[in-house]
Amino acid sequence: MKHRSIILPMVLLLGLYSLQGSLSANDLSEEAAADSYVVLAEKAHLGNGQVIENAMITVVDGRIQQVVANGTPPEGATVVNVAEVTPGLIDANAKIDVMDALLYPQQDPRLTILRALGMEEHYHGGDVCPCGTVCPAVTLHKHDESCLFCGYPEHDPHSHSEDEEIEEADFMEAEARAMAAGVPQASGLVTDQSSEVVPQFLIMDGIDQGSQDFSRLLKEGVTTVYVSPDGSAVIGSRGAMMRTGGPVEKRFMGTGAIKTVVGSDAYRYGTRNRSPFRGFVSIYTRRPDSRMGVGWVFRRAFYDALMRARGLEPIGADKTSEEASTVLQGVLKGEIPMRIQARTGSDIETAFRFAKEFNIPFTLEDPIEAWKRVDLLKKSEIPVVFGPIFDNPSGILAGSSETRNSRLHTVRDLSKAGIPMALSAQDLRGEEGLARQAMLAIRYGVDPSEALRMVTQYPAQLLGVDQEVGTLEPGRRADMIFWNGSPFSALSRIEKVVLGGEISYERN
Amino acid sequence: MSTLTHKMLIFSVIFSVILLTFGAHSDLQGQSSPKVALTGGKIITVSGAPIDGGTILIEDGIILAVGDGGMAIPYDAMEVDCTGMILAPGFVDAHNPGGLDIPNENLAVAPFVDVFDAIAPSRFFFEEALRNGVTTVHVMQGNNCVVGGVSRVVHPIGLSPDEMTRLPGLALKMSSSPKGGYDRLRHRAELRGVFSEFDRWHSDLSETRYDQESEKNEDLNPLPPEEARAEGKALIREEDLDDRHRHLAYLNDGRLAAWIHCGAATDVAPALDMIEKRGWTGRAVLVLSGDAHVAVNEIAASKVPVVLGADLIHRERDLITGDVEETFIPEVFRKKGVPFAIQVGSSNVLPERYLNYQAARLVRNGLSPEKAMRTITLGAAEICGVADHYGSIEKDKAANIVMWTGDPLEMTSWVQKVWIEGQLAYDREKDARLERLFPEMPEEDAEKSEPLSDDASTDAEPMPAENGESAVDSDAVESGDKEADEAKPEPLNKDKKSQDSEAEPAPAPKPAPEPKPEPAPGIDSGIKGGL
Repeated sequence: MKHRSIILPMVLLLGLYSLQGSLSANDLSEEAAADSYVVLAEKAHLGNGQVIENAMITVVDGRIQQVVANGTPPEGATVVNVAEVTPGLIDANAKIDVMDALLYPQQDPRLTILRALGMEEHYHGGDVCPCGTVCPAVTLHKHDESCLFCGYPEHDPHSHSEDEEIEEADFMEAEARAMAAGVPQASGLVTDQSSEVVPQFLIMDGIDQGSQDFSRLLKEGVTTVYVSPDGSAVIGSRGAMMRTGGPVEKRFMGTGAIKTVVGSDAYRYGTRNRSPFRGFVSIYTRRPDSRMGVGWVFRRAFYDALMRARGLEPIGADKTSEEASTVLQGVLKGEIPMRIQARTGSDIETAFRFAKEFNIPFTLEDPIEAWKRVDLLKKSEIPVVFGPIFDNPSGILAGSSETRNSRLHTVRDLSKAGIPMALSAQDLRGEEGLARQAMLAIRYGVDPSEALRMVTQYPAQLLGVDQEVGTLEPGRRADMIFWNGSPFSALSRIEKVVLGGEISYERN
Repeated sequence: MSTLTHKMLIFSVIFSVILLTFGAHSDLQGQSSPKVALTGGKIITVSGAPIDGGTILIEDGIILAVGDGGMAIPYDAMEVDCTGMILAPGFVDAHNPGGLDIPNENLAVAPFVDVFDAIAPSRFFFEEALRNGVTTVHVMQGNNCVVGGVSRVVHPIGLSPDEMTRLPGLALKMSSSPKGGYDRLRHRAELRGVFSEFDRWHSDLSETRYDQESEKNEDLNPLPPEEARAEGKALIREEDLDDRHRHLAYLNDGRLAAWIHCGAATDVAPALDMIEKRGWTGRAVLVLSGDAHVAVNEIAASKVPVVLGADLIHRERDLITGDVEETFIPEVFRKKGVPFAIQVGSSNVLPERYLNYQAARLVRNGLSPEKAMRTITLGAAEICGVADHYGSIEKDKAANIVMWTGDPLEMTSWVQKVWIEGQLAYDREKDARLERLFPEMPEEDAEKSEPLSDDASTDAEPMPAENGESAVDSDAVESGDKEADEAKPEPLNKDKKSQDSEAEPAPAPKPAPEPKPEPAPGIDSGIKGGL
């Protein structure tokens, strides 16, 4: 954009000379896009529930200047004709390529431990036990050994039927394919596990800003993501908001909420408290063993923060670090937002109970069983990030036992109850990515315009950036998707994705 | 939409009527299938032009006639009003091991097995197939074999594999890509070994048969072995075939088709070579996965149709640059004019499990909706060799008809009813499992739901945000979190960052009635302050 001062007069000159006004979209060079042009859309879905036919969208300096119906483009203006246009999609709970955990799965902490003990050959990778948990035991015990971790034979990984073995082979194949395509791995944990309370950490420090995952998201129409940490620590790190395209150094948009968990993720992931190597207690040894333990870690962290706020120093080996307390004090004051991941119905109630105890506002993340507690959510007006819609979990969710009671109608029930919520695809891409999640939402009973808002305006409001992105309104960043037909129809495809006024993805 | 109680009332009435007439009804079925006339719906025939408000007349499970609204309906036909609905042929699933309890036999070479023994009628797969509009499934073992078993075509209804079966013994599965745990050398050697052993056995048998016949029959002179083998081939009887070689013999004499899995481009040439040398041309199909589509020119030249993997997209990461290149595989074959069928995903990917969604993906990538529809019906039936029975709504074909609530290729459409051979096999109204996963909206809420807002407004003025958040609020929030502000390298609203916002703390959602000032209503949240 530093050449803008030169390019602007050049474009104007060109416009004066050629005066024909109408160029095909292919002629829309980056330089021209950065300047000013007009999009003529048969239908513009503004993302705020409004649809304008024969819309004219004027883009100046990468921002939307005006949106009018039946407008006539000014003489000499660059004109792009498109079928239908929507704002760029926003995923408010994206799980994205975090370097250490996802790109180098061989650096599994368990492998580090096993190496240190000279037991490397027992490592089989971060397998998921057939019981649905990530069971470290899989790396160690043999057919007739009892498990030190999880009480074999309950979690006996060798008791698969042949059918399951084949499914596992399919799974591995799928995983290998996904890896080849740069998709984050299901086994990757992105939250630091050196302690259960790490709100002072920033997920931004671990994100590979140049990751292929961003271009994949962009291609699927997602222009803004909020990267939320996973649930492997009770009080995890703080999320980050990013653009999915443009110059790498300009992708970071800000730090967000701290991520907390009240479900089983915090004690399912990682190794358990029962010391794995008979007395060898490492930073990978986890403390909570049950939901009760998770609750205690949560409360203790906030009690410590309250004590420190009164000038008292908490005591005990498991006291929260001072840095963590500082952040949690910010949360208690309402300065720093908090997300609670609560998937099951009872976890959702627990989330509300905890929040009430400390009077903390929060955002409910990934409430898979929200259909059980629609009334509670409606009454509280707590914002919700829901998704993906599934009947059998895949991706990151595949290893969780909290996914068994999902319902296809959840998103519709929440929507009809008037709970404006953001829809997320988490780590899923392609045919399960965010655009297709909106398609599924429509299939399962959500009004099409509401489905669009769930992936544009609502997440923008939730993230506090609705003045910046999320709708096609004057002043917003020109993040747009050009569709060849009705958005989210199974038959429509994304022709182009415009980010900040520039065409960042174009279907060949 | 009716209330649940209302519906239950209707159901109970219907149910009692059915109970009352049950005896008579089953008698009727015992004698002959009743005539059924499906009237008023839009018929997508696939083989011909669509008919608006057409009529399909079914008798004995066969389509008797297809016509427009003017067609006469026999007095004894049960008329089903399909007005407002779309009638399409049931989908044909060209290749699916999903109906088997285990998709692959452990033995590498097992031409003696038949999927018949492994079809589990109670498998969820068949119920799901019906729900998604699939009426014909070619059940074939998986790709993990050297020489696999024999496939068959089944209906997704019936209590036993026998009841389900429509066409037994359709094709033999083979693979030219290494079975799990094999390398290519061993795999190919074993595959060649199977057929050289068969050829030896077959010629020995021919010679023996000629010798046997010539002993009995005065007219046949004893011949030297070479000639006896040639003459004796025709003398082989069904009872001479042993279990190990029977299906290979069928494959040899044209009674079975050859379906060969190729998991990589390098495995295509050996497969095509085998097809040509062993005379399977015209009844061979390649089941492709991996990057096998790269060998499209060879496949096109051989005129062998293909069945494509569910993924449809091949992703390849450049080893040096790390860039991922995506190829939409059906497009590769469409361009070269190779007939192809597509599979549904067996994975958890929700939409990929629907054949109509897979077809919609074809449309998204440039195929016409008509051709995409044909790919999953008549096209698939042709590749399976069952197009004379299935795949279109035509006279004399099996009456496998699906009633859709809308365009079958749109994900907003649902399968309302399915008739298999003229019998009502599925009714969405009575789908208990779907009702559990996706129940209808209770009435009071349903009434509140608003119509599509597509034509709601052509006003250029932007509507206020959902919960009436004012820009002032947002400004306040934007810089509410000092810490986050420090962290961000690029302020979101540089020009809007005003000092007065410092005075107004971050709004919080309602459940936090803390010493903080008035919380903003609605969605505003959570991470609002953080940005």
